[in-house]
Amino acid sequence: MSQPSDEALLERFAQHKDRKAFDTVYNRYFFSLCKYLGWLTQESDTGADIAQNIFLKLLEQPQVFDTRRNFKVWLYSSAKNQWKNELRNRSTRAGHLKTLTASDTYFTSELEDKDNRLKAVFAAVNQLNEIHREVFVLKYSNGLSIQEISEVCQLAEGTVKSRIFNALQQIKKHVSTRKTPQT
Amino acid sequence: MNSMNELPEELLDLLAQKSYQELNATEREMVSRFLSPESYDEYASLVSDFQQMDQELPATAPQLKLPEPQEKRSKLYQLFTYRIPAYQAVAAIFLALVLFQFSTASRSGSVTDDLHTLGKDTASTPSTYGVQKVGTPLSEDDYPEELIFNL
Repeated sequence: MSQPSDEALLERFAQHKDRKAFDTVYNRYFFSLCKYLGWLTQESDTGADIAQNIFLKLLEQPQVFDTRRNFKVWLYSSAKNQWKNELRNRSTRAGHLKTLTASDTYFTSELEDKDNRLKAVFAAVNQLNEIHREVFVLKYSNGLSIQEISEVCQLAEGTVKSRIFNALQQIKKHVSTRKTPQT
Repeated sequence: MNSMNELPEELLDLLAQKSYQELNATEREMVSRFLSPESYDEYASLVSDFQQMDQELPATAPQLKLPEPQEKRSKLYQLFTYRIPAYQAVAAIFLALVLFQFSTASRSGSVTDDLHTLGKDTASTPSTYGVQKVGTPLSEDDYPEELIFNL
């Protein structure tokens, strides 16, 4: 039996206050959104906070999402916009540099016990510039289609594909240069 | 080899699903237009490594609990805490004031009417307040002398 779509579930929640429908969508996407934001912001806490805010807003005001739209695109676009707002607010605060420095260790600290190859791949993704990292993560971590990514990032589909491939090339280069000194 | 702008989405999906060995003939043909078998395997391996690590990440993100909706309050509580727009409250107060003014004015009007009827024979006229007005029956004999004028 096929599962109900995100949009159908959210329509049910908006019209009948069906909390189970909302929880299903929440469980489908919360971690996925946290991961995307973690990669984008390089800070797990900020990512989780933004994800939480988005779902809380959706819980309190279901009408913020137009059920005729694609929920995934709306969700990731909203998350990205909130992160941009957060960055704008931070630029006026003195703690910006400190936060970024502290956050650098988020993903790498999780990798202590992993083998070198995996570490190298992860570090390589971490070191991609934001435009390449974002499309790569949306594709291979969040599983969005090229069309969905192009809507979230507001890019042409051809650009998205070439950026993903470019990211792969950079990762490959980074991993092979890390391997070289050991061999 | 074709441009990466024309890269089919299917190829990017295959990188996350199959090694070159696992591709069927059609897929191999499509891949060969863009990548060598070695390059394909290398990229597929990078994607697989990334996904392997990425799948272990969720444990590091805290599961935040959403607040449960508030319990249903009693009907009486709901009645007393029922919210209405401010303009409705203002309109209700205004209406109450107008009605009060109107009732006060109509009451004083009836008193004036009563005063107007004083000169008339009101012996059998019921008053606004429900009290029967009773006239003083004066016979010719009982008339006070000072009120009698002989013209």
